[in-house]
Amino acid sequence: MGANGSSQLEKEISTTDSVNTTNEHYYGLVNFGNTCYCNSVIQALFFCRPFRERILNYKQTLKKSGASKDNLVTCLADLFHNIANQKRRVGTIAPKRFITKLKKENGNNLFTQNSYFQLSKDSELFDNYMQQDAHEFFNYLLNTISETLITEKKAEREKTLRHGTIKKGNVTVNMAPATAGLQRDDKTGERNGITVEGNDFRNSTETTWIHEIFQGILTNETRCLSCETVSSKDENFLDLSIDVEQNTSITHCLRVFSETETLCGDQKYFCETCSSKQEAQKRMRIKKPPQLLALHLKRFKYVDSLNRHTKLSYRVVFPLELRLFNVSDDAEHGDRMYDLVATVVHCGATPNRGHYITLVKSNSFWLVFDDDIVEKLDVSSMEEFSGMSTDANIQMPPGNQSAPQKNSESAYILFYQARNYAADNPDHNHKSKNSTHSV
Amino acid sequence: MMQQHMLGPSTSLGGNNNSALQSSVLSDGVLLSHSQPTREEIKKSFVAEDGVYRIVQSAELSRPRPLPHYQMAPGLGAAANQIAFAGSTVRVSFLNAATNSAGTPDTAAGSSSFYEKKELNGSPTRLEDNEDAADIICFNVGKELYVYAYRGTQTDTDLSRPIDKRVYKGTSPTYHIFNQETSGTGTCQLVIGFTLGQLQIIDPLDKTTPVPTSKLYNEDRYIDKTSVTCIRFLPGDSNIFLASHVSGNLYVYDERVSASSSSSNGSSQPPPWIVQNEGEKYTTYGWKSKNPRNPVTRWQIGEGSIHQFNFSGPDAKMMATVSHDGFLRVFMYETQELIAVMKSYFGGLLTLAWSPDAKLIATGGEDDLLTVYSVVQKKVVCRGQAHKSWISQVQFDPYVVRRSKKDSESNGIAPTTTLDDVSREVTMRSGPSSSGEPSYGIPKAVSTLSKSSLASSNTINGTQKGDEIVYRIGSVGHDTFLCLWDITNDMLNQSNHRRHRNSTIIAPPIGLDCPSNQMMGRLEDLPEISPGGAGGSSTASDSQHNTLTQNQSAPQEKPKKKRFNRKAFGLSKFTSGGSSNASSSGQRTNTLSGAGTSSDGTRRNTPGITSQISCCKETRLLGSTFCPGIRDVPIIEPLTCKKVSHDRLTVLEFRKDCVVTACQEGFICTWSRPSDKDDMKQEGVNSTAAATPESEQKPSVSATASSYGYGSEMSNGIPPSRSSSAYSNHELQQLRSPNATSPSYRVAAASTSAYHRPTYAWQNAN
Repeated sequence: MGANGSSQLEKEISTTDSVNTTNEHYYGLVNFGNTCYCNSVIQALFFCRPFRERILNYKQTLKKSGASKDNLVTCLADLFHNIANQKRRVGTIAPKRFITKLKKENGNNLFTQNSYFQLSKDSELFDNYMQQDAHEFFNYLLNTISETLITEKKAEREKTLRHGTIKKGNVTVNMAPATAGLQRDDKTGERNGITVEGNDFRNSTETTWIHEIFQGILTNETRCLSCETVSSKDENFLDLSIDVEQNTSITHCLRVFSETETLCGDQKYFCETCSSKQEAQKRMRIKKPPQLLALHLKRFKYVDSLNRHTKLSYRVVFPLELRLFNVSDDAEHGDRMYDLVATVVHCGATPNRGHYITLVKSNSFWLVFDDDIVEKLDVSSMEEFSGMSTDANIQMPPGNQSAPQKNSESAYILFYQARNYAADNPDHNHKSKNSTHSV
Repeated sequence: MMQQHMLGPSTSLGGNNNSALQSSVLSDGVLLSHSQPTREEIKKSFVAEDGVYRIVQSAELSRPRPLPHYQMAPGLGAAANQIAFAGSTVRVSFLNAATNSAGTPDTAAGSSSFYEKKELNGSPTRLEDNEDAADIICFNVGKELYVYAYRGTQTDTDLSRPIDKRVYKGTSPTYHIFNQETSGTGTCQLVIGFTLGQLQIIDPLDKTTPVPTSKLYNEDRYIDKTSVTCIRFLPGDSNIFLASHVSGNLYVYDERVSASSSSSNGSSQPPPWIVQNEGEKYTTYGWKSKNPRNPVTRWQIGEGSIHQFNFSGPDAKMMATVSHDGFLRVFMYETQELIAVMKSYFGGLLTLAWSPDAKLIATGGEDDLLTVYSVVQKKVVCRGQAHKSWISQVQFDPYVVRRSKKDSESNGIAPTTTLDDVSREVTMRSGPSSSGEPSYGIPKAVSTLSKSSLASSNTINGTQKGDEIVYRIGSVGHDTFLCLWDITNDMLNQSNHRRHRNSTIIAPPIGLDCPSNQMMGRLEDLPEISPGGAGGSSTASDSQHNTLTQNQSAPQEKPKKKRFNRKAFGLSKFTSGGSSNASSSGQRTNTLSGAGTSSDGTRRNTPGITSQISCCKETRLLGSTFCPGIRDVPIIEPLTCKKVSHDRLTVLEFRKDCVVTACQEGFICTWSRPSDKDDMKQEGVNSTAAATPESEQKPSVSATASSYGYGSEMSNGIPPSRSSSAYSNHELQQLRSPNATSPSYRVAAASTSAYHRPTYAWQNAN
């Protein structure tokens, strides 16, 4: 089936993008037993171009420096490199090293150290109900990568400090061969720029290219109802977890996300001006939209009456283009246009069982990655992955869930990439370079 | 049912044809919504400015098997209809009785070729005696296609006895349309498009012919393999119809030309098209050969599916298309010339509708926004925000009476409309038409307006065109909501401000204390802003108005200075709503109109600044007139916005005596319009009401009693403070009369916003 299917896809691809000769590779990932959560996220990230480029660059620099490391990031980099350098454009690959590494590093309690997912009291349950939550894995992966990068930078910085005098020469030497040796000059330059910058002011806030790509800023505005003072606090995020409602759009859910809520009763807000607890209004809006906006739809909800997590298969439609409505007034690029580049889809009516697949945009067409199977997807059928418009899912007795199950393929993580990424980035890079020099 | 019972009082108040209706209608809304506090409840009636629209449950149509969904638990009802989900979009088409009278029925016509098998259970209906008076309705659900008699609100159809029923195999109907012109006694033409791209012409009425007439186009799918999205007959030539496909192609078929596929030579290659015309992102093709073959012409437009297209009017002068690439394109049909382009705010455009006078196009799509585009001015007039999901269908309501201005009745002048007025109005409307513009507006406008003048003899005020509501737009969406929007002449004018009486009426985000309030975020997210050009031609009344509001708006002037931002932002956030904020409410209630205007003014002032700034950042298309920034165009709110279905809505049709909606589950609902009877009662009530402010209070008092605001219909948030705002409205009623002459509209506008601005205006502000 695999071979046949892939050759079919190969044919389709060659007919469709004869014009666009970007040599993309579409490789299915072998499932090592319940690793679809992992495969789906990896595929999505592979087709998030900025992410892939950085990972491949990482691999290249590593190779150049001659250091041999073995961590999750290098495993991922090797995997990406493998896919990108295959002879055939379509095929299957086994992410064995990566999975092994992942399992080894995490033992049994996978992802529990995840700082981004606020599980609070649910965390124990969380372990049970879904060991393989794709969103958790996504967060885990981003965090691991950024931690690894930060550690490496620290090590590098210490090294530079020790050989402080060589520093200047070191940088220039670094730049030249890199630019010469790589095809993508701009990317390389930028990467180097960041490395340089990293040397200088990473002390206060450690940022990596993970943050550059995924990090946005939320601003949390609270207005005391007594003295009318508005205070705001900024918060970084790598992805947004959005509550979903039946028969809505992601646009609407984002709007609801930024709705005003009133803090009263137990939740009263301590107002510094009043020096006391006061009723207040609060809302959260996006101050800095990230380059790559990852939206996690909170489809897994704990239902008290059932004493378990349930999947909300609500129909939440997502457009291929998106602009944010819930940006703060002072937001930079507040009205930037986003394009959907990848979607992790959860299939199945319950959280415990189920499957993950990934929809991906490459060049001008869409593909479905279902573990090792890769197929072309008609754009017009994207809507089928929005979820179900029936309200029946939760209320229905378990026996009846077989019917909706068929249609419960619903988007779980959406990856929206800001348009003009390439155009924006040199600019950004330039700025950061400048600031580096001034500092 | 209880529902009905509760509606009782509002019946007498609703349907208010008199133009004094602002407040009474509002309070009706309050009353109505009071009876339906439950979240997610499906509304069976709603109030618009012209009265109460009610669902006629007996007229509901669906596939024969399912029970009407009102009799079922919501969940089960939906679950029972799983079939519908995966299928193609449910569509409805009508054949109007005027051109049709039913013929003699026959039992099953032999099955035509193709994938279809005929009539499963029960023989096709014998048409009943009075059948000939009926219109014909056709709708598709999944793979099935049904044809029934339709009598508007009088429809009482036995679902088990359709005129025709077809079940297709392997392909599903996606779109169908009757040929209104060729239908005669016992015969009609129904063109059906399918998911696999085929087109079929059938005669569902013709039961006599042993082999029923059925023509097929694109049968072997050589022409196009993708699903049919929309079909239209070319106005003025009933032999020509056009079909658009997911592939982004639109084909013109001529029935006089042989239906057989062009590639009869056995080659499976697509037919050799010759380029006729080329323009930006579109190409038209024809044939080289002398012998015409079908399709006669091919238009390739934009990228991705052409979701809908339509002609500007009976003259077929212009054709507009909306595509998945988010573009609205307007072509001169004959010359195949692209004359206007608009881009959605983001995402695909799914639907469009021409205004009856062909000057405006309303679109809806994946940005959840209604966008009103002026073909004359080639710019976006306004955007409407209320839907919580994609908009699947927009329509102009050509029948809604365009009357009513507050001024007229506050003037005490309620001149009977004369033909003069009507024609003047028409002239005015068609006045700006340049050579390139449609002239079609005239006849249509006359009919609409004269109808209106008949319906209510005292409403159109001939003296002031300024704030007349010129257009009524309806929209339905994937969110299961039906919204009605009014577009006034003011909004159409260059110098318009953010004072859209009707659109502001329902400021939905009321319930702060309701966290699940879906609509709440809307206003806060989207600063309501007048177009950047607003300052350009401000009138005397403007400046007057501005003076009024200066203190309030003063703090807004600086908000864009860098460091000030946060603070100013806070101010703008909270001030404009200030009227109802806890701290300032007392003070504001004393000067209600002031409060109203202030929020109005605030809104008006901020945008200019913002738009300047945002303009600098815009890249090429985005932010240009093709796709203005969100702050560069006024955002309007709907007149009414109701959840009317369990499943996503796919159809909205305005008919003379009713409004028809359909959802993906396959339920076709008929809504009665505010009836003349109601109107009569109404006028009685209203004339007394208008006479004294006290009597005006009557409805409002009930409104107070049932403090579920309009907002609850949309938001379910029920702010306890409703009553005070209701009160404010009385004050405004009184205020209005001294101000009766022309500029008073502003006061009126202010009053509405005073009334509607929610108590916790934070989310409204800014």
